[in-house]
Amino acid sequence: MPTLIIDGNEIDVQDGSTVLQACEEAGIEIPRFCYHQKLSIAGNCRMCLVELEKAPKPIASCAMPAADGMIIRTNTPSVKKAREGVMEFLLINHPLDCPICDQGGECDLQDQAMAYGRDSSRFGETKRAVKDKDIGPLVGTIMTRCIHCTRCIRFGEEIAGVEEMGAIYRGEHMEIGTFLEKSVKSELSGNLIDLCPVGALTSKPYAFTARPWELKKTETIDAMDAVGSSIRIDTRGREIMRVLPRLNEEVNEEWISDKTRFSCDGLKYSRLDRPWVKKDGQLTEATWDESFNAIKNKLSTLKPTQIAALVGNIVECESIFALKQLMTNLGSPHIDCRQDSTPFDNEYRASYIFNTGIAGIDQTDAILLVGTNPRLEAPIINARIRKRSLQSNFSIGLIGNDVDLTYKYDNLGNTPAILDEIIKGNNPFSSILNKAKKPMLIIGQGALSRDDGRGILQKCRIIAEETGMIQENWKGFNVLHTAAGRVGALDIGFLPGTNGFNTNEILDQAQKDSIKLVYLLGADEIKTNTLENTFVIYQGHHGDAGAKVADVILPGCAYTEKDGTWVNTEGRVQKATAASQPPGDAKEDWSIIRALSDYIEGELSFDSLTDIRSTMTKEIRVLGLIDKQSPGNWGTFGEDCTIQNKLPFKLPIDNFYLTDPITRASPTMTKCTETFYSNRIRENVTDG
Amino acid sequence: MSLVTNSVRSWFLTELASGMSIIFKHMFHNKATLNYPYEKGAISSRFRGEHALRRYANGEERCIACKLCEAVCPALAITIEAEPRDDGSRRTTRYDIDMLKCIYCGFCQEACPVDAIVEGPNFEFAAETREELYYNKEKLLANGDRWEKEIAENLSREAAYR
Amino acid sequence: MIETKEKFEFSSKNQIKADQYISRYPAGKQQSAVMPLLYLAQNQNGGWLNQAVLEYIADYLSMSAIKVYEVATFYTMYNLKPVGKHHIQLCRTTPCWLRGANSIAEAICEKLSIKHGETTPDGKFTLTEVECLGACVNAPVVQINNDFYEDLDKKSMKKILELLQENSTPSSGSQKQRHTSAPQSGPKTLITLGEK
Repeated sequence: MPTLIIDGNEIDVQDGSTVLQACEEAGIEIPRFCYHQKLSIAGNCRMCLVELEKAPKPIASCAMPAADGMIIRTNTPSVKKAREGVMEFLLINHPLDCPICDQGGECDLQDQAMAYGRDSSRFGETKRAVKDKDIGPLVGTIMTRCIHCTRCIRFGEEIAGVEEMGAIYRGEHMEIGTFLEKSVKSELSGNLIDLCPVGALTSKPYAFTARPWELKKTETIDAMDAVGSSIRIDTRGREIMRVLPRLNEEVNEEWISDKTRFSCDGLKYSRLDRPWVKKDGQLTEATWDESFNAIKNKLSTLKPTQIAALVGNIVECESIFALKQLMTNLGSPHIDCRQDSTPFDNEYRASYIFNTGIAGIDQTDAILLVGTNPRLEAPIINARIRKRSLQSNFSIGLIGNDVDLTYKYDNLGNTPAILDEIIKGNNPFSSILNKAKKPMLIIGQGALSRDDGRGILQKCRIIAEETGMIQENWKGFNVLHTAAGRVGALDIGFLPGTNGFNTNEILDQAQKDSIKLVYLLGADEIKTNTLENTFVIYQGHHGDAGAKVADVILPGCAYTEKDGTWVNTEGRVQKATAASQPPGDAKEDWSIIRALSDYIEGELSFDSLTDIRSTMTKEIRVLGLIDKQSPGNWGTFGEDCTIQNKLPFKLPIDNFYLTDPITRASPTMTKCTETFYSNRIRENVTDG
Repeated sequence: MSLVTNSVRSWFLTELASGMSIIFKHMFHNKATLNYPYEKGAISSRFRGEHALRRYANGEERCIACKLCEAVCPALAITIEAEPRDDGSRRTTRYDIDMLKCIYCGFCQEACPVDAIVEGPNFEFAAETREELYYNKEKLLANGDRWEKEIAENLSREAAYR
Repeated sequence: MIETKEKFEFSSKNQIKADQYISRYPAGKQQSAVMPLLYLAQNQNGGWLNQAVLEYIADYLSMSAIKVYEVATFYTMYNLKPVGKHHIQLCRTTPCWLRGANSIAEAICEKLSIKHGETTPDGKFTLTEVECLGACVNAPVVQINNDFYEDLDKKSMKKILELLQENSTPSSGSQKQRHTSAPQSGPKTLITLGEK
C-alpha cells in the first residue's frame, strides 16, 4: 500500500495503482483523453501531466505507477501551463466544427478546452484533413476530428477481440484506419462511439438528430438479450433517440452489444397501436371494449382445457404473473414460456440460471461451452470470457460449431457423444476440468432445444457434479439464455400444470382442434402456421409472426415503455423504468390482462403495479430481491432419455441482428444484416 | 407686489402671448411626426425585428442545425429537428419559431455560429390569426431572401462590435 | 496500399532467411521479426509491398494484417507503391542541401524528365526525396537501390544515370575518387606514422 502526498493530503492507494488513480482516490479530477479504466495504458495524449517533486519535468500520471512517498502536485501554475501546452497542440489539427459535431455538448475535448484552452489559436498554417473511413453501418467516422488517443484500437484488441483498427502512417500524417476499407465486424462495435473522447467516431443512426442537452435520460434495463445490461435510454418527447450503457461491474461493466444499442429504432415501426378484431376473416380496428367482448364471447363457448397460453421472449415478470393468474382462474393447465421447447422446469432454480454470475467468469480457470456461441447469444458475456482468456491459467473447451469466438479455445467436437466422453474421463478436457479449482460449464439453448434436451441437461448436470464444479460457494453450472423474459417466466412457473401441454403440444393440439383458443403474450418465435384455425389472442407491441395469425390483437408496451421486473440469465432481478410512452391506444401489458379479467370469469385481485408486485413477490420470494443474484437450489434435474449421439448441436442464433420483433422492425438492424450477412438470404431465425 | 404683477399678467394676457409664441415658433420648425405608413423613421442597425434564416451567396442555407439557438432561447420559442441530408451534410428538417412566444431578446442571433438566424429590420408582420405567427423554415428562409440586403448591411456595420 | 488478388509467397531461400530472423527472438515473440521480414519480402517483390505481401507476412507471424500495415506505413523504407528498377533516393537534409542537393535533383529531373515521387514510363527509375542517409561527410549523396553514390555534382550524377540506362554498373562510393571520407588532396595528418 503506497502512501502518497497529493496536493498536501496524504493518501493510501492499492498496490499497482497509477498516480492518476491515486489522484482520483483523493478526489482530484485529472484531465485525460487516452486513459480509460477498462483499457490498457497508452500514455500518448499527455493531458494528465502532474508535477512530481524531484522530477525534472511534469509526469504523465496515467502511466506512472504510484510509489511510496511520492509528492504530487496537481494544481500548480506549471501543471496548468503544461496542460495548456498539450491542449494547444491537440487543437492545432482539430477542426472548429463543434456546431455540426454530434459529440458537441458531451465532448471531452470541448470540456477540457474550457479549462485549458486558449481563447484564440496561434497556429497560422493550414490544418490537416483526413479522409473518412467506412467502418460499417453503425459507426460513422469524421477522421479529421481524431486526436489519436488510440482508445478505439485498444478496445478492438483488448475487449472486442477484433484487431481491425490501427494507426497508419506517422507523425502529422498519422491516421486511424483499417487494413482494407471494410466494416469492423464486432457485436460490440457501438462502444467505440462511447470510447471516442471526441467526435471522430459517432453513431450513424443517431447522426445529427439530437443534442445531448435536449434528451431526457432514463436509467433502465435492457431486454434485447438475457444479459440484462444496465442501460440509459435517451428520449426526446416520445421518441427514443439512443441507448447508452451504464456502469455495472457485475453485469455489463461499461459495454453493451450493438443489438442493445441500435435496435431502438425498431420501436418506431410496425407497432400495434390499437386493438384489432377479426371480423369475417378480416382484421378490423376496434375499441378495447369490442376486443374484450370478442374474447368473452369466444371463451363462453369453450371448456377450460380448450384454452392455452404462451409467453414470448421479451415479456416482463408482472405481465407473466398476471397471465398465469388469469389462466389459473380460468382453470387451464396449458401454459408455457419455453417457445424453443427447452426442458427446464422450475423445481431447482440452479438448473436454469447462470449460477456463477457473469462476474464469476473472472474467477474461473476452465470453461466448457456446450452448444453455444456466446459471441452471438450474449456478446457481453463473450467479452468477459475473452477478458479472462487474456490472463494466464485458463482453458476453454467448446462442444459445438467451430466459430470465431474472438479467443482461442479447444474444439472438442460437435456431438452429444463428447459429453459422455467427458463424464467417463476419456476426453483430454475432462482432466483439465478435474484439475481446475473453479471450473464452469456454460450450456446454450442450442444444446437443449432439441428432442433429447432433457437428456443433455442431465448429462451436463452429471459433468458438473463429477468434475467438481459444484462446491460450497461455487456452482459452476451455467445456463446461457437468449430471451430476456425467460428466467423470470421460469421463476414464476409459467409452465404446464398437471396434464398440461407444453409449447409443441399446444401447437399440435391446436392443429388437431382440441385446443381452440391460444393466448400469445408477445410470443412470436413459434411455428404460427399451426394456429391458423385456432382463435388466437395476440398481446404484444409489434405486428410480427404472432399478430399475423391473431383473431384479436391487444396492443401492449415494448420494454422501454413500461415499468417492469426482469430477471436476467444469472437470475439477477432488476427493475426497468419506462422511458417513453406507448403509441396510440397501447397499454401496459399487466393492465390489459387485468382489464380483460373483468370481462371474463377470472377476475384478478390487483389494481396497480404496486399491488401486483407485492402479490408476486409474496408468492415468488426471489423476485423481491432487486439487483441481487440469489443463488439457486441444486438438485437432481434432467432425465434419462435416448440421446441422438450423432446429431450435432444447432446454434439458436444464426443472425445476431435479427432475433426478435423489435430487431426485425429496425432499419438499422436490417442494414447490419445486409452488411454482415450479405452472403445469406434473409430469413426469420428462431431465437430461443 | 403679487397683486400688481398678477393684475398686469391677467390684464395684458401675457400667458396667452407666450403660449401663442411657442405655437408660432413651432409652425416654422420641422415636423416631429411621421405620416406612417407612408413615412418611416430610421432604425438602428441593432434593431431586433422579425426573424429570418439566411443563405450563402450560392443559395445554400446557412443553418447547420447545431441547435444552439434552440438551447439559448429563454422563451422556448424555437423548435428544430434535423437529420443528415442526402449529401451527408447536417441540415434542419424543421425550423419553427413561435413568434408569439418570442420576446425578441436577440439571443438566437448571438448564439448562431454561422449568422443563419438573424433578427432583421422588419417590424411590420402583424397578423390577424395566431397561426400566421407560427413561422416555419420556409417562411423564415423567404424572409431571409427578402431582407438579405438590409441584414447583410446591418451585420457588416455591427461586425466590429461582435 | 495497393489492393491485389495475387498471391505472394517467400522463395525457399527467403523462407530459410525468414525463419532465421524469427529464431533470433524468444519463443512467442516472433512478431518482433516483422521488420526484417517485410524488408526481405520487399526485395523479393521488386522493391515494394502490396496487400498480398502484407497479408502473407501477417499470416507468417500470426499477427493481424493491420499491425503489419502499421509498421509498413510508419517507416519510409518500405514502399507501398511500385518503384522502378533503380530506386533513386535523394538526400535533401541540410548538409547535402548545403553541398548542392538541389542541383543534383535538377540533374536527375532533367535527365529522366520525371519529378519527385515519379517513375519513368519505362519503369526503370523512381526518384524519391529522403531525409538524411547518414553520409553527410561525402555530401551530396543519393542512394540507388542498395548503393550509395557520394560527392556528386551535376555531371557525375548524369553520368551515373547514363550508365544505368545502358544497363552497366557505375562504381559506387565517392565520385571524386576520395578514399572513404579522407581529404581529396590526400592525407594531411598522421603522415609520418607509418615511417617509424
